Amino acid sequence: MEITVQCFGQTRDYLGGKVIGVTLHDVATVDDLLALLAARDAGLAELLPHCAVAIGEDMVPRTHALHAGDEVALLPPVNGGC
Amino acid sequence: MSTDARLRDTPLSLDELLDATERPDCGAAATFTGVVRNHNDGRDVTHLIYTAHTPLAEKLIREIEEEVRLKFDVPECRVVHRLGELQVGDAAIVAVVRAGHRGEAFDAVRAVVDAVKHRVPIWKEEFFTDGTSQFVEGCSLVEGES
Repeated sequence: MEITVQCFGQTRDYLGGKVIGVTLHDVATVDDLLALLAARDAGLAELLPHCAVAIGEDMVPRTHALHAGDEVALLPPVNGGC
Repeated sequence: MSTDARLRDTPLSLDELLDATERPDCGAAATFTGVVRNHNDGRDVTHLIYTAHTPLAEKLIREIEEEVRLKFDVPECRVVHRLGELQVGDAAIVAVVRAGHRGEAFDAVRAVVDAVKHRVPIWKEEFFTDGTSQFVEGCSLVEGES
């Protein structure tokens, strides 16, 4: 299945854009997606365990089952304010 | 500044936030303004760029405001965070708490700013005088990790 990954913070630098398309097996979880992305870059592999994942306005756990067409947001550690 | 949005890509106004939260029954108005500084970790900063997962950040800031209103029993608690490119001296975040008395107002304004910094998907990229940039180390949103 095809999904879309929205890259925030430094994940954009590792994945080369704000939005990327990813192809996964038809049965896949957030964990499977993160494992696939981790294989692309060693630095990203270190960061991903510290990234939360959201679909729409909801945070989802690593066990969440993905569906074709999902837009999955990768949220690295945050640092708003001053 | 809209009285509603919690994220703005235009300059912030503490006065407008004070006007929007005015109440005759509150004897205290505690405010906080976070301002871009010209250095961090010994390096000279030229400017910052803030980005956010906007829908989620809007939702979480409103949830945090409500948590703080209930926890500290304060009737008004509002935060607005700036996005986009900011120069040294620009306001990055403004917060207002109105309460009956100063004690809970001071406590609540500190709590709401801390919570926004730690829990809302906003990222700060610092740009330095040598032309390089980096994302500031932050707080994980992964459940159980922060």
